[in-house]
Amino acid sequence: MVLRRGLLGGATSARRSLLAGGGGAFRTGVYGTLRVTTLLQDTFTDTDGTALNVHTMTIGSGWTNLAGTTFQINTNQCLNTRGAFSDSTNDPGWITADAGNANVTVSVQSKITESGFWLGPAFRVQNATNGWFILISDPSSYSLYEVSAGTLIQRATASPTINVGTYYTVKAVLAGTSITGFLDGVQQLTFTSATLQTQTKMGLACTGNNGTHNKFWDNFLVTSP
Amino acid sequence: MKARILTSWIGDGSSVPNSHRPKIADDFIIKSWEDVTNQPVSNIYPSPNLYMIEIVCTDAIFAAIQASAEYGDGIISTVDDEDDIPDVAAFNKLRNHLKNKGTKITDLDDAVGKNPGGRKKKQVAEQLKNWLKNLPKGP
Repeated sequence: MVLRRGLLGGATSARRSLLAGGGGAFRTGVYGTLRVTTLLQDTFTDTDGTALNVHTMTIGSGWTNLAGTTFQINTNQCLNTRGAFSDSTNDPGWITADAGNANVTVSVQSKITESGFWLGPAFRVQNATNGWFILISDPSSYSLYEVSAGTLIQRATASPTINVGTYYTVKAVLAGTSITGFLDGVQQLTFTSATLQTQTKMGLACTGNNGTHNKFWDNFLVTSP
Repeated sequence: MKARILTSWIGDGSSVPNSHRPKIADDFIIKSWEDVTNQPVSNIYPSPNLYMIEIVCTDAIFAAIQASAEYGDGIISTVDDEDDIPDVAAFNKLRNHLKNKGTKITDLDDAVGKNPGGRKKKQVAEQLKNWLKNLPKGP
């Protein structure tokens, strides 16, 4: 028993070390019989004001705007000041990078800085009008959205406490037709859908009204499985 | 309390605040819900405007939903009674609820069957869910 704990502990440390490393096309760690590969990673470390689509990811081939250029680096975080989906302008609501795999775990720290705005991870995105995302907002909104031809459909919702100014780790585990959402490691929702299940673009999503409304992400990570 | 229940869609889908979503979630404080019908987006809103979701709420909220004229008879099953066979009176209330929500009388047998027929509530729910999933887009 002691030996087993020791082995697992060692593997976990090794995995953390590998996942935290920079450079290279991808990183692989082994946990027991489970092999975890980092497909995309970004700690958003760069010069303030650098547009995300020209910023170099820690791991991955880079970000592609679905529209506009308002995702940028700010104090080694990702900042979006505007958003689509409830915006009369065409400011971007999401930005993606290609993970090359649709069955992945997408995780990102997400923070709103004022009430009434939403942000989180995007996944299985086909283009600017088709994909999925989980958005959080205060005081207790955690929802899974399907976007189809630009139309937004809420498919599942939970109500954990969300505070303005606090980072939360929002995670989506994608396995075949199953989508499972977590907040700070606690499962919030699950949904079953084959829609866009082979799409491999993962990223960031947000929404907000006209004007300047800051939303922050940090430590974006896509792993397989 | 965890339950499967019928609701209509609201929202025009143009934005996050106005996304297509279950009306019952606007009418009651629900801890969590999941769309278990998964109607194709191209058919939203369907005709009749109806689908099934699974909700988790407090016992007090559930009691209020049960007492609601809009939703009470559209409760299909709960986590506590899904293996029970619905009595005829409750089953007929469900058929009547479907009719009141716009289901054609000629479609009721396809939707839930003529009678409980010895089926458990979760089996009735499965038939109804499959019927709801294939509803055509409404006008």
